[in-house]
Amino acid sequence: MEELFFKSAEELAQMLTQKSISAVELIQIFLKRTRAVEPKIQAFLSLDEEKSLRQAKASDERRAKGQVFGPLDGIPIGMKDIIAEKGQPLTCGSKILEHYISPYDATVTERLYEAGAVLFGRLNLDEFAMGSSTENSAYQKTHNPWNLEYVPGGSSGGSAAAVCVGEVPIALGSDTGGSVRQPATCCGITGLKPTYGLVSRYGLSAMASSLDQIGPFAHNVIDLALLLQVIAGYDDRDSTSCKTEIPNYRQLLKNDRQPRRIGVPKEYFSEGLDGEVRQTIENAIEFYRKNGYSIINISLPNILYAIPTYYTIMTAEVSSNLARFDGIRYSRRSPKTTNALDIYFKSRTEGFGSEAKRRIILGTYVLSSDHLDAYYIRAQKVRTRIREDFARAFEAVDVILSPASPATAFKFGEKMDDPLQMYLEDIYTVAVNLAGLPGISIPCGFSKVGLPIGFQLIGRAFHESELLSVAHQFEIAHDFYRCFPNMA
Amino acid sequence: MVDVKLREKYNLTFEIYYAVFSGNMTLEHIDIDHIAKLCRLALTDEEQKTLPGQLDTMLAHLQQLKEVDVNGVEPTLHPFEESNVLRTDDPGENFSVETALMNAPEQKNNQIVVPRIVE
Repeated sequence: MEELFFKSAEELAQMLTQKSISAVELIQIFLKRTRAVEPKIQAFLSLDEEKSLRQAKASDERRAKGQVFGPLDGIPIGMKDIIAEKGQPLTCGSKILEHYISPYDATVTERLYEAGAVLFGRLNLDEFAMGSSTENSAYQKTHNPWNLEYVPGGSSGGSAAAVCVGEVPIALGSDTGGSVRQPATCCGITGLKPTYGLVSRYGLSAMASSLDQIGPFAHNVIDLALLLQVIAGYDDRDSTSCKTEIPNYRQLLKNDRQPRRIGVPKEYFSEGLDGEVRQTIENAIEFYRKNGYSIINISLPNILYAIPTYYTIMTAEVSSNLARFDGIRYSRRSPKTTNALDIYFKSRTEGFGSEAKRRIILGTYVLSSDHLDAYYIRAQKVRTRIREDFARAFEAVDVILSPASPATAFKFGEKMDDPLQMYLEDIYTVAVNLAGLPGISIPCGFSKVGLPIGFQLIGRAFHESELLSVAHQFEIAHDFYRCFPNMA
Repeated sequence: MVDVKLREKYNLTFEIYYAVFSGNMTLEHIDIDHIAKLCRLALTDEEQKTLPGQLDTMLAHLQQLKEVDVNGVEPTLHPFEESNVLRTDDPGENFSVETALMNAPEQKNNQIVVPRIVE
């Protein structure tokens, strides 16, 4: 029998509806599971058991009165520790916010409360979401539940590992260059990066503001749809939030069986892609072909420059966004200071880890007046070229299929001394952020050593429901979303 | 001479790689002391050893942008054209002073304490 803690949010919601379990019982099952596996996984930076039990109790009371808020009422959810939750820590995985407590709720947090979800704990990440392995966290290393010697991917590694191992059924992360899709792939679950502007960034600590989006993690696509339904929509507190009609994502999944045109970009299947990963993804393409989808070879010539474009724009925005951590107003202040300049230097030097420093310095360089045109402005123009490539491709296809990461998860320490190799982990995901498009990663198999492999689907802006549907067609014909790591 | 190792190290395209080795392009070097000062950072002893090389490697990788023809191309500041839609200027609920200052490292009389700046 399948353990309760591996059930999907929708299955758990059905049990709550049938009253075969209460929200309090549910939270206790997940707390017990978390206590059992957390010493090995290390996904959570903090847990507030009392708060989750209180929320679960309130959910049970609502249900008894017939006032259920929606399908996620009573369902536990994990939050990446970069999304504000009033009264809870918000470390962003950094020493510089070690003692910071959120004075307000992010918009997504408010919406989760309004949906009755039970906010379960704060999940580990690379410092300020900068990394692809979660090794850049100032606090702890999160382990991949499929093999504890391997990283869970990053930067939302805590969110991916927690869902994968059954500590929570669903979680939120953030994705600036692949930080939802790559860890979801490494942990064999599903993850969605919504269209830029679909989900409010209010209360998401900014890394690179023109690229950041909050996205859901789940065991399956149905749960992604349920969670997206809650968090999507216009918010006047985020000036980049888009006014767009939000469809009923779950309902559309039920009725949609229409085969579509899938584009396969040749640039994403060239050198640098692991052979086993390539073969597994080609099998997925074959599945779609057999099921009536047309597979169309396409070219996105400028995505060859996606990594340099991304690392120019992102580091520029990072250097600007992280300038606010000055030790004066709310971040950790170094105790050994005598004057104001000293506070800036020592607080930042002691508070930021090496990856943050690398990116701040590179970003400051590309923004400095001597290099602005050669790097930052040029990168913004190449970004236009990349957007145009996608726009052209979407004239002939409905979705684009690609790898989600160049290989399966890697071992701890493997890429820590070589930042560029770490950055190349994002090679298939960053272009999606540059173009502002939605991207989803879906598990599609395992390597010989038993590590998950996944693929990515990219859609037109605000066509999440189409993307979810194409992903769901694959999912229901396979059983990868019912494969769980074997942890004693 | 084609040093394939170096091409792999910087993950350069062949075009850039040949441009560098035919003398048509030079790889830039970051004056790390100067830039770090601009962004109010100091480096640990360990970072002094590793960061300069790593940053030059990354910068070499970024230089590939120079081979893209961007003549007449408009820069993208935001993925979609709607820019800065400001909310209406209605006064709403705001933080109390206590809430706004709850994370201040040092405070007194509802104000943030800093060292004397003007002598």
